[in-house]
Amino acid sequence: MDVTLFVITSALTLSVPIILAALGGMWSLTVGDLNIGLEGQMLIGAFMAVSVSYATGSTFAGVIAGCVAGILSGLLFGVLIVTFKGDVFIVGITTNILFGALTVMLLGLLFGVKGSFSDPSLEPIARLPLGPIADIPVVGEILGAQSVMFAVMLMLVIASWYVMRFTTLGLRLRVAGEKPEALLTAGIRVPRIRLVVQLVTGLLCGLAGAELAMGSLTLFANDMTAGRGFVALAIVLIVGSRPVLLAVATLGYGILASIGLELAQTGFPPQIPQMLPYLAAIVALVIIGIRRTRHNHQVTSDRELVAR
Amino acid sequence: MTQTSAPPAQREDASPALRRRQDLARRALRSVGHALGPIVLIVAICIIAIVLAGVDPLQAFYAAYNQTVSGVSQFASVLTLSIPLSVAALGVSIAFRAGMFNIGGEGQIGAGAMAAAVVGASISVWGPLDLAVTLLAGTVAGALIAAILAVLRERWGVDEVVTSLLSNYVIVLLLGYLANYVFLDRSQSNPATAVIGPGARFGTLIAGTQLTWSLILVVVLFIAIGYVIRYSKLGADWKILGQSPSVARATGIATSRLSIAAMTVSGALSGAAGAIIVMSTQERYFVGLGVGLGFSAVLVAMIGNYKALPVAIWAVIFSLLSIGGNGVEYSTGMPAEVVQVVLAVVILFIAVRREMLNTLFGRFRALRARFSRGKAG
Repeated sequence: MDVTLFVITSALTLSVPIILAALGGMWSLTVGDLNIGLEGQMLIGAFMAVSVSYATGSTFAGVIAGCVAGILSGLLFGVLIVTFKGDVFIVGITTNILFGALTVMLLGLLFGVKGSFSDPSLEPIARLPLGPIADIPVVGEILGAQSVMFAVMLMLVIASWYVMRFTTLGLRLRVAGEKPEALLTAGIRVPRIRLVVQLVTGLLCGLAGAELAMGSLTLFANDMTAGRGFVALAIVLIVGSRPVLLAVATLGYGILASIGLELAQTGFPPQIPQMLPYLAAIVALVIIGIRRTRHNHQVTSDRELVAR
Repeated sequence: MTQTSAPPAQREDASPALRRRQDLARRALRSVGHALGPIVLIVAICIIAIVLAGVDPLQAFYAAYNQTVSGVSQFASVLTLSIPLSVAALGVSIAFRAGMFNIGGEGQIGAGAMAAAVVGASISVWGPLDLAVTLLAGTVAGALIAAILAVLRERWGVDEVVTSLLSNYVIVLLLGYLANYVFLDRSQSNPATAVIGPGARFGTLIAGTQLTWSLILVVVLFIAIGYVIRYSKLGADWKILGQSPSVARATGIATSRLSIAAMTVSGALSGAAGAIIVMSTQERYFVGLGVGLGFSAVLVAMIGNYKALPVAIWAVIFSLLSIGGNGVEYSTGMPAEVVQVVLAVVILFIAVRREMLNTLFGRFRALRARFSRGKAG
């Protein structure tokens, strides 16, 4: 029972940043841009969250700084691929390398350390204010360990679902991805929509990074995203434009990852459980691919689906 | 009559030999521009970054110079680093040219290194055979991983960008497990595999340095692959495939088979790069070997425009910059990662160069047009 509780609690904690980043990736994919720079955008958000929290002594300011850094990275990405029509993959790969190296460089320049930075003065993001729910036995314990960002994530998932499903805006965004000419004839400027969506994607990645660094740990480490951005991307490709399903799928990833953590505690070779979530993401992508191929009787790559 | 009235410029144009020469000169000028442009940009941005960080540029330059080109052994270490980097970057180039974004270099290099380390430590028949088999083991390991990803893509449309990125984590963790549990050599202080046999090592080229004759092998490899890319039908088909898959399909190119081939060759070269590291300098696999090299190779391939000669040159420049960067870090505290940052910025600039200049100058031109019209009216 204790172990199950631990697994569920840490599965939620692990999922929150990935769900946030995946929501960003989902909006980007909805307008037809496969943003593989999520990883780097999370990283710069995490770095800014930690360093501004340290400098100001306020975690809230740190989270805001993470968001701003995310938005700026989204602006960079958007201008490069929309305004200047750069290749989305080249720009994505390069921005990941850029932010990976930039954060290491800034860590050295600002804090004089290599590897990781933490300080006792850093306060993690506040826990969820539960009120009466805290007294419910299991639920109270699980939710009590989550940061406020958990609630923010829930609201964003629901908001994304609502916008995607029931609003004209959601419809326009989907059309912008699938049939941009249609919007053009309706007098709507598709490039502007794509650019704004990249800002939103950047913001969500910044939030994800801030939660990753300041959610329960209070630490920035080199490459601390460790492929979470790519996992988010894989989940987006697997579930498509369905925010609620996306959150559920990510939770599945979180459970796998936290089982891995638990197994590593018991003396099991840690590498095997650690690689499980990544392997599961690849397997899921393959299964989706097989099903789609059977259904369409022809091979359509994810990229062709996007670039239609 | 018509001859005398023709302006001299036209008469010059009439001479095919001269025109050809002018054309050649113009093209040469343009390629010099293409080659020097990024270098000038890199130097400029490096200086800006160094000054912004409050480091004395002259001291930084001296430190970089000291580490890289101040002597034979320094330059040998630059070349030693550039050998596996250039091979991996050549692999990335082939895949990217054909439109297959193989970003699994980290995993494929590691797998190649591990395979070479395991085979090299257990084989001891006859020097040259040991060497060939060890190198082959690494090459096959890399090729196999890339081939699987390529088949998944071609058979079921599973995007290779995402799977190759994710495969890095799976493979590097798996290699960590192998090095820590399965092939662990307890005689060493750090978790690592056994040291490879003497036959499986490349001989030293310059005494007292780590530079081995794998350099010669790599030069031959670059000439061969450069020829394939530039002059063979396969190279031409790859290029069409990369530029427009639909055109390739329409012209009857076996797109699926060619894509898988490009990806497999790319993985093979990454694996070979890993094997070369083990067979030249490290002599064993340990956790962390070659980490970062896969992404550096992507940068080098991009800035070298996926062509053999520029990729080779840029691999050397990148090695110069990173070893120089280490020197700068040691003497001034400026983190060596500045090299990757600057290179990434330059690549982003190159990636959008044409459109960016068009947009900026287009706006400028529009402004000027409006201004002069206003004056006229």
